Amino acid sequence: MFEILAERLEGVFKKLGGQGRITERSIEQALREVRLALLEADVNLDVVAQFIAGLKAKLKGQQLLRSLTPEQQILGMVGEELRAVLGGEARELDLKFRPPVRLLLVGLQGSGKTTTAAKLARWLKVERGRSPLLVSTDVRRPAAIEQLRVLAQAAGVAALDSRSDQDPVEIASRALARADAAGHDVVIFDTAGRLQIDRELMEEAQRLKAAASPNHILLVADAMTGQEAAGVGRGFNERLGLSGLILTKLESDARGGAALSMRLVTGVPILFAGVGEKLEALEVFHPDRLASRILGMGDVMTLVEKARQNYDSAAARQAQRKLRKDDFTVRDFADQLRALRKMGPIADLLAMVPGFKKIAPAADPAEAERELARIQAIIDSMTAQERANHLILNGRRRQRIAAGSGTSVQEVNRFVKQFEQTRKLMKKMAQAGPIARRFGLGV
Amino acid sequence: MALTPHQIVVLAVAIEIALLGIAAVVEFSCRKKRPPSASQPAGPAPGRPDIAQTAAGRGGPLSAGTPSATDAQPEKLPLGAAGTAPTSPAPETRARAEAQPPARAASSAAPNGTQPAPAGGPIRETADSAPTADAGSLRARRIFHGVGKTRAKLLAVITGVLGRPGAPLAETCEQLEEALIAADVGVAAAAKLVGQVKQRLAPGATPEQVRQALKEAMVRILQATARPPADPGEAPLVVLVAGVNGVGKTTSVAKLAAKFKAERGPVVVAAADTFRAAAIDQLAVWCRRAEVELIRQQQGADPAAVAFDAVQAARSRGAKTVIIDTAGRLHTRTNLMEELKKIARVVGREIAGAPHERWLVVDATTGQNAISQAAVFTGALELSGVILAKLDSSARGGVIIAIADQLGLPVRFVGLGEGLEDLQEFDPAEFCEALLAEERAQGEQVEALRPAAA
Repeated sequence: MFEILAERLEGVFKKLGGQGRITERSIEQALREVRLALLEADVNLDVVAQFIAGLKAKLKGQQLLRSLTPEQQILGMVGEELRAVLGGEARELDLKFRPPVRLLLVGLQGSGKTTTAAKLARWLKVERGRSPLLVSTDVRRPAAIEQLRVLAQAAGVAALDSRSDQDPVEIASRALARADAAGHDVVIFDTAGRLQIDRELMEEAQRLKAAASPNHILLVADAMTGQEAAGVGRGFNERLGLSGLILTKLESDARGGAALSMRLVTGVPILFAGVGEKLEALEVFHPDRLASRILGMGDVMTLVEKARQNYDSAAARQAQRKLRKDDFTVRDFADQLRALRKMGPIADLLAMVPGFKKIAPAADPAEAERELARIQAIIDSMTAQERANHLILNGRRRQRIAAGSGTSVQEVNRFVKQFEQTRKLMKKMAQAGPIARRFGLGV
Repeated sequence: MALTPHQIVVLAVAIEIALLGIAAVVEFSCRKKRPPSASQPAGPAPGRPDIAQTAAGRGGPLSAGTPSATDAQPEKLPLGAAGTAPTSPAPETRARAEAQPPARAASSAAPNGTQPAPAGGPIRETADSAPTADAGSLRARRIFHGVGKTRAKLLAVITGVLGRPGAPLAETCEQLEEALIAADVGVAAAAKLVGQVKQRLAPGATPEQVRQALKEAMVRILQATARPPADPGEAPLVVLVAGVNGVGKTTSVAKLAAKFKAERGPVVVAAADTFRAAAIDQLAVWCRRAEVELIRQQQGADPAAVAFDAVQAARSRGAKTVIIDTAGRLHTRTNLMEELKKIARVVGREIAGAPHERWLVVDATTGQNAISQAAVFTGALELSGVILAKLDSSARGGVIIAIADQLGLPVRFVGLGEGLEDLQEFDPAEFCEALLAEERAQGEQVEALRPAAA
């Protein structure tokens, strides 16, 4: 688990030569590494200090287990603590209020409020059977109202007709009247982006709060935010009293330390995560996933996000089926390869596969890329019949393929052999049950 | 080093394991009756069915069947759109209907532009009341205010620690490093900076000496990246503006348009963000304010085609500058990075060397991920610079030092507000001075500047 941190901690204990014994000094050193890992993940400096202090207190009182190595124990505790701080179990947005339930979305410019408002409306409608009304009170950003209107239409939910020459507070009052009249049981208010230090706009937000008397005020925050995340969370919480956080752009490769900062500073739960541009791309937030990610193992999740963006789920299902039935062909292999290469450079992908570095530390990514290109060429030089059944590949065919792909017969042989091995291995894995569960992906 | 056959097998298996795991997750997450994706990777925006298509795909029954939809449509839509939306699942029709700019939205947004853009406390008030103020002093003041917090922190460290008699240099340096990390400079760049400062300092250094040394070290990193502005010769200067979602690309494009118009003459702006809902309308409002020409197509159009049109228009009208606004895209989306390359290619076929400038907009509130953004975008586009937006926030913008250090990318402009004029050329010395300036002295300076500005 937590590869980056794990490596670091291993380094510490190796350096100390402490044969698995934890001393005061080794704890200090290990905590230093934890601290650096958190800082590199953009967790706020003060938040890190607070986190480390808590961890230290726990480590000191801990009876050490002989069965585990020190780094394993420390890692385990770091993970535990991180999950606890991030909020343990996933938390559901509480909707048990007298309808219409009113949600106010606030945040900095560009954090993704408008998109999130539409996603949330869609989620409430599709997943919770609600009838939401979307209301834009953003009279500042050009075409923000129009943007929400278009998104509402795409999501198939209602939007209030507001205009940029109207007063946000007045729009809010009108929205509540409309919700009553039209029977909407949730009203989602999108607001203009504002800096938490902008007095004028924060006062406007307070007026909006008074007018809409929201059941929830949700801070929409960009997962890529840096150190200032703590200041942003604190500022909005002090002025408006937040009840939850929504983290956006989590499909990026950001480590998401901002989430930890905001969560610790505000004390409110992270409820949702935005994971893509489509309206469906809103998920209930899972603290454990982010905990791993912050510490450098969430790369698996990133890989999954990448795959989801570039991968055809129907094709994936088919490949799995075929594997189980043992008719996985070179053609299927080629399809997988193509899907894989769409996801980015092989080197990046391999770096995300947990434990790969350990299995093949010397693998040169550039060479791997070339090797894959060769394999691609070999496959491309096969006939459709050969791709459907690699068993018919006799010497003559192999010679032809080698000539066609600019490789040698040896290379073709090697590919065929590897394909068979891979196929066997994959079959075993496919039969072992839902693979995702083995990765702890919460399926 | 060549891979051994064994390693290749491992590699393949590892990949396949990942894929199978992914497949299961994808399967799980797609269980909710999403229609099988029919998009082929050959299109202009591979694998990215736009909102209109998504809506149309899930389509008719969903939007037509709910009371909420009927609720919204009569008052919201132009007649044609209200008619086609629920009944016609054809993406094109939908896209066009959505892209129709309702005149109302545009005209009502326009008066907004004449209002002084609010935000931002005392700085803005002076800025608005004194449009004729000396640009240099305004800029200094704004940068100063923008990075106020960082500076305060650094200062506290410098004066606090060094003020203490006999504080060991190592301790000072460690605290300085922390302060830099708190400014989003990043662990690696902070260590490097502090290392340089350490070298230059005698054990008994004064706070002022530390401040100078740190400033010099930062300026050195930033100045090392400086490069001359691109020279397009006789052809119009083509500027491509890119970045991840929500960093402030469209606003920056508008500001750039106003700036280039004043400095170089007529500007053509290409609305190549054809993906985000109402992005074109947003840019249209800005272009009206800046009084520059906008070349647009409907939402969902090929962005490269829009860029092409803009270059043609610029040529035939003798415009001096073309600025291409692109859709926000996360750098992890490989196919969208390809789309960006295509825009650059298409423009490059029209004018040799175009796009002459390829700028990445970075949000000053972004942390270390900005480095990853810059690395991937420059890998795709060979960036020629960075625009640091939202420096008027409480954010620290320190990550640009890491970007300059690791990737050698210069910062060209900083965004300091929501007005058209709130874009300033980046000056490393000024930026670092503002970052480190002594609180009180600079405060006095600001006071001194005020009468001059008014």
